Amino acid sequence: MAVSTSVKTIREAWFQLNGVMCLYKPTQISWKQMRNTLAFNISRDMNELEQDAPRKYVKIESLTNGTNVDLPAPASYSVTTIPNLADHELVRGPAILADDLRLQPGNLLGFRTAGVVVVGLNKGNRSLHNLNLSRPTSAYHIKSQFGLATDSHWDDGKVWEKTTFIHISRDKLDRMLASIQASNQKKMFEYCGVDPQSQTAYELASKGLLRPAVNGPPLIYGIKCVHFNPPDFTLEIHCANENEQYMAALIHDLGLSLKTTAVCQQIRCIRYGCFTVDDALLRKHWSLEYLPDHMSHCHTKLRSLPDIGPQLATYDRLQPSQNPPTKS
Amino acid sequence: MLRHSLRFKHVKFLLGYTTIRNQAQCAGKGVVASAVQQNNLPVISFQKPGPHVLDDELQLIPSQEIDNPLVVDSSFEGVTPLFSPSFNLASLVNKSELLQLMVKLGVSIHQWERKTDVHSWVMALDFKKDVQPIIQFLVDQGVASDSLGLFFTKNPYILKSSIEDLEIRINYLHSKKFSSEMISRILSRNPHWLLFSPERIDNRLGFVQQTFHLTGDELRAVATKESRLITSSLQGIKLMNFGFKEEMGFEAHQIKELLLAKPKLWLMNKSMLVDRFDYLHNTMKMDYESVLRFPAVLTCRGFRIKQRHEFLCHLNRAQYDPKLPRAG
Repeated sequence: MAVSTSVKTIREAWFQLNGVMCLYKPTQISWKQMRNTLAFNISRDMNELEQDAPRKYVKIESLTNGTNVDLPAPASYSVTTIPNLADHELVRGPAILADDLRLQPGNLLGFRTAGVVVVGLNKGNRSLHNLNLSRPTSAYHIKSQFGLATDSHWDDGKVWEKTTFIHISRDKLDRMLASIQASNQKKMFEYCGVDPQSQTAYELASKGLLRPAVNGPPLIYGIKCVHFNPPDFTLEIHCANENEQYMAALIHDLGLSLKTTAVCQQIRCIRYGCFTVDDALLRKHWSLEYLPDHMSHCHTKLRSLPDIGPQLATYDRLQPSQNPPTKS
Repeated sequence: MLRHSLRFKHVKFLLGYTTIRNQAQCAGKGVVASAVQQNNLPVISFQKPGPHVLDDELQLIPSQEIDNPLVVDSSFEGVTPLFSPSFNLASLVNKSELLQLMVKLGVSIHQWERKTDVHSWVMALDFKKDVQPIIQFLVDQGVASDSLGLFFTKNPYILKSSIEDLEIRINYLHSKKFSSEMISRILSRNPHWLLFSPERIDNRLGFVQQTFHLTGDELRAVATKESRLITSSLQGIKLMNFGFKEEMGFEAHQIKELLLAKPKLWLMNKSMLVDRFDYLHNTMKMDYESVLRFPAVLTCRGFRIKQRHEFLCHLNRAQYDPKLPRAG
């Protein structure tokens, strides 16, 4: 999937422009802006490569200067071959337009979220689609602060409330986070229609098959506090089907449940599936010269993932007669 | 490349061009559309001379002889097949001298098709009568010949203007004491200037002079430095002034200083500028005098400023007051 250094022409380069890449999205930028910047950069760099030679245009002119209707057909014509001006760059336009590149996001981060975004280019969208079908989890670092409640749940929103937070200890926070994680795990089983205490539940969980369907509610697989320095604290969350609003509201609810208030300062996606922040390209590298090596690196990563199998198991709601729940 | 070509304006072109063809035919003698290259093929009269083709005297021919193919018309020289309807100018380039000349000058025919409706009237232009005098005029006024391509790409409508109008406009500028170098700079940087009538330009120059209380020399300097300001929207200038005065808090004399140093600011997006200034002034603690000394900082992209500032913060050198030591 790499564009090798010996590629010089646009045509050769185009056939190699397929794959999956992983970009680091800065904050305060929408996916559309990101996509447009990337597409513009790639097409600009592509158009600097060697173009195809223009086609030939055969020009046939008669050499006799006849205007008299009665003359018979002239004996000689001049036939010249000139480069076809319709293929000239100024007439035909640039070889690659930004619209010609199909770029799809694997995960859509919110406007204020920064972090890893996996993007598919042209044929790579197929691999990306398969990756998405496997419902990979994302990991986020959410920097928040206690003592403030705002309307948007972010620190620059309109302040609703200010509270004290002296009473919060690391211990209390950890306990609260553990209970959030546990309730989410239980919900997972319920969505599958399985009693969490049953053997089926154990088998499912051990195979790692408990993933929500595409448009399900957000699910948290793991949540813990990685930095605690009141009022600031940072949470690490592993989740699926999340969105920015959900996470900001989560922080807000967390604050309320700890009898104080909390707001987000920064949400950062550090992992999507197997792609982490270390793999992601910075904004200054969003151009053609960095893409080939990067896309081949991403491709290697995808190839090294275990093959899950053709379908994730779907379970119908349990009938009362089947598998009665056993209390352990 | 073809994706964007099938637009309504191209359908209009198809319809438009057929009428042009008729207009050219109605021009009298010299039947064939003047842009068409004479191939000097012998006259194979497969085209019946209709009544709109013959000149006035022959209209006296009784109706039975109008369609008579044996009637020889001396003005009927070198019939060349006219262009069939085409959906872009690229297919006409090989046959049209005018378009070939444009390509030689460096005009982007592609841009013409994308952005303007030039294709509906450009084929009817006569090189010697319409285009050449204008090229000569522009070169005389000081527009560099290798930037003529860019000029016509941005402003093809000038090919439709009359030389008298253009001369009146240049005379107006001379009467307002613009020197030849100033005029050539204005024309090179702002191809649209010559489309504005002297009354409009006068209005606009007057508006700018009164709004900012400029002297004659200052006005000329501003018009030369950023001539696009004069041809852009006046409402935009008013809005931007509001932004500077009310939202950013500059004084009137400071605004005038900014205008003389960097008039380009008035062409920018106001909300982006206000956000940028907000960051510079409130977060980076840069005061008004510093911004006035380096107005270019307002044109620098927001994320670059943020990156540099955060980097300097990291190094503990984020301090922009030149009076204090180690200003960043």
